[in-house]
Amino acid sequence: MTFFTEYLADPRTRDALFEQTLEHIYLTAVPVGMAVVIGLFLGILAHRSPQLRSPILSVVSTFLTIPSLALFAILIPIVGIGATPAIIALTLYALLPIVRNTVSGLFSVDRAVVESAKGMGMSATMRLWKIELPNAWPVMLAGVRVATLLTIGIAAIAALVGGPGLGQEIFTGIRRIPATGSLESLLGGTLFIVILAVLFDLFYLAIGRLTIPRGIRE
Amino acid sequence: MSTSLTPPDSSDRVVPTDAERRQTARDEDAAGVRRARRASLVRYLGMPLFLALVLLGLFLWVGTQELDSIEARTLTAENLLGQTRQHITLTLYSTFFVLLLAVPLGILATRPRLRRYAPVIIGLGNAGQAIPSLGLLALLFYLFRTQPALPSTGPFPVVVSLVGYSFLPILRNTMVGLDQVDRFVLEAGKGMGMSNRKVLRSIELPLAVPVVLAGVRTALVLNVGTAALAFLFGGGGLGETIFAGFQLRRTPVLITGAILVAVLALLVDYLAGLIEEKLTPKGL
Amino acid sequence: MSDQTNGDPLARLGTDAETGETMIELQELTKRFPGQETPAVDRLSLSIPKGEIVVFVGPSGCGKTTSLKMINRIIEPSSGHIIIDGEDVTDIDPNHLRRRIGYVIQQIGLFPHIRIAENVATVPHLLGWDKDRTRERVDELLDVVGLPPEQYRERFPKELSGGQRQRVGGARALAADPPVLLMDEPFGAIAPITRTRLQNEFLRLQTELQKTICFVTHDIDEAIKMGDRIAILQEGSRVAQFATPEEILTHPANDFVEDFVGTGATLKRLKLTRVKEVEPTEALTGRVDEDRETLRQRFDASDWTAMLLLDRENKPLRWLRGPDLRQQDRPLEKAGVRTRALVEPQATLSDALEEMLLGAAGVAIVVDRRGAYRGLLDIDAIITSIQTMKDAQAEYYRAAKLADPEDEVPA
Repeated sequence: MTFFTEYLADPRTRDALFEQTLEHIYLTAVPVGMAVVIGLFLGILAHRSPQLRSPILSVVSTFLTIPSLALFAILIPIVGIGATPAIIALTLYALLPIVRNTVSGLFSVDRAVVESAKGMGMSATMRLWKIELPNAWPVMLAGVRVATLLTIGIAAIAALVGGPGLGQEIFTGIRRIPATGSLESLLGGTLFIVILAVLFDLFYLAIGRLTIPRGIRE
Repeated sequence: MSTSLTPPDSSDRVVPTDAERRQTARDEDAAGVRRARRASLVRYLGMPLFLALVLLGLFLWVGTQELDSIEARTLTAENLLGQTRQHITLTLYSTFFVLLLAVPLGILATRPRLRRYAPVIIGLGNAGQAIPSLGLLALLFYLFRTQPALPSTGPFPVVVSLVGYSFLPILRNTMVGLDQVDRFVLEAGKGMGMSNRKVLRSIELPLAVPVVLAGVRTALVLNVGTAALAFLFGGGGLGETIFAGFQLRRTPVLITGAILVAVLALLVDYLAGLIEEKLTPKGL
Repeated sequence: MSDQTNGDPLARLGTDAETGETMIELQELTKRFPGQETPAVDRLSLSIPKGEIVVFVGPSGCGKTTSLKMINRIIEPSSGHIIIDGEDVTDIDPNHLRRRIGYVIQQIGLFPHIRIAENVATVPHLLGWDKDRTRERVDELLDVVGLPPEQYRERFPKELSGGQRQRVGGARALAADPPVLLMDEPFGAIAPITRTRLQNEFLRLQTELQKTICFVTHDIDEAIKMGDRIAILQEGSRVAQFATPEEILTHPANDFVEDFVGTGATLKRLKLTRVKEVEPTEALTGRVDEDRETLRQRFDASDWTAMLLLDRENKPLRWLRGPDLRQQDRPLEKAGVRTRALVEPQATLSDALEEMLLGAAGVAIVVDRRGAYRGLLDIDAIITSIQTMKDAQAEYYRAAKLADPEDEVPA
């Protein structure tokens, strides 16, 4: 196997993989960031309003049913080829775990806690920001973590329709199957994505340590 | 001690109170029933109607486009129907085989004797989520493609790759589902003094039905999506049209392929949901 | 139903005789929940005197909690008015209203994500108190509820026991020194032994704080123990009787009240009398720092069968009998039997009786809040006090009869 001796030893490969890794991080962080903002809003809305809850959740889960290649492709005529269609599509995919966990996180907050906050004269906005969201945060963070893992994996498919990221390396490999060198590309792209996923996971672990108050930690 | 209850100067402004105050909830009787019936109609007919409208819209839109020779050659009924058939066949085959493997294994792995290995398998399933579908599919395909003993062309390596890809998630879901059932059963069955076999037959198996059905739905949805990548490995399917549209820079082709894939996936999800609902024992 | 109370001479004696000042006035307060035919609370009118504990008690579903929650408008009334300290608060900003009313609920509802000190400081923060004042107040309150601040300030709610959490809940409600306190079954979820202690401490605290308190419970015994006045509520929060516990026990307004109070009214009366109201008898005591021989001589000279050994802070340690004092082999702190059945002055005679029966000694040792010995209470003292109560009641009845104009014989 020439994976380490030749493939990774080649500085050109290393440079390419490094650049694609950065692109992949961009392709993950931006959609997840946008999905957090939108998902927080939709999640709070779905928690507040029983009428909106099921429409919001079913629309958001419908996004995830649409195969990624199709969603990337539909967006290309609208926003052009490149990172943009991928970012939009990945944002839509990342919404479901975030919205769902925001809703269930908010529901998991003890009603007595919210009532006592109300009883002490906190306004609805204060209750949300000072009591409900901090207590829902562990569940919400778990949702963001799942959304990130999902996004990292799906982002690879963006390369098929001209997107950036580590999917390009995998795609290069696929086009050359079963020629020599194709396995190295497949392994290289896949391995770097797995490493990225592990790093993101560690990142969330650290975020959890830093942001989840000791009083509600497991 | 201040006993005045008039608001003193305070740091935060508060929303007017009247909305909060005389808030009256909606009437729960006749109107509620009507709404529920309307909601269930929307649920049953909403999605097929929506998908039919999307297809009609696509048809009308492509009809107004001046198709050049390449587009005309790609967007023939024969071509599209053939790819759709391929796509469905790949989905059904891979779903069938993955269920055949993962569900029995899931049941087996949650039996008391093997239960201590369950966390390992579930953990593996969770870790597997970190592997990108594209990479895993390609690696599996490469594996089968380069085995001289196995057929290297045709649907076989593609179906095997799809099965390999959806195996862990289905196994994991089955085990998690059964684990929840078992916890419930253990209490109820033991409480009534049933024999182990009786518990299995009269409680556990019926309770496992929804778990298996959920597995069917998950596998179908997963595979219909991944089958869109089958074209990369010579397996055909509607992904072919999408990719052709992209490579040839032909928007009508790209859009037609994408919409057909999306409609097919949503339809499969909808039908699987219906089946799941109809076959789930009442009261669960 | 309220006219019954008004027509009742005993109630009138109770309502207007002591204080003239009303703190909370409920006027025709009504709550209709959507989709329900009958109102949950139907035109409730009640005056709650300043500085008193008024207990709402009644069967489940009678609307007592809804009534309570309308006072701080956690539940908005459908109609009627709430007047607090002369001000109509029915339409003012509910958040500002609530910052002026302490609120304690059964489930406590401490904020799990912040520390005890921050929990207690919630309302001071909302009112914009500065840091030093808030911290000082938090420490003071933790002290008041018996949780040493340096030990508990930085803890999280999950690191506290149920009883400790409810203490924090109380401290949090008192933080901004609100004149009014609403308590919804505050001791309902607490283990019985802890509950009795918390009740006693709460009553002791109230003698200093003099808050106006609305207290909801479904337990008539708790109502009798805690209430300066009890509102017995029927379905729709209709007032079956609003009177002092004595009046309710001795003169129930109607069959509903009689049924609700239930049997054993004499025993319940024991809940009306506090240990401090009964003169404790003296025990034969000795201190641990006294010489064993001195103790023995004192014991022999008395006709007591046991001596109560106190520690250096006068806290009861052991019951010693003759042989314990004569044998030299054991230190005094280890001799005899451990003292049990300690009661605080704030406890009711019923609590004391229970302690006595549990302790099997037939006596309860009265201790002050620091745990120092005050005296002894025996079964005889309790029987005597029941007798006195009965005599007083007879007297009370006669007075009431004379005061009732309907019974008055025209001269």
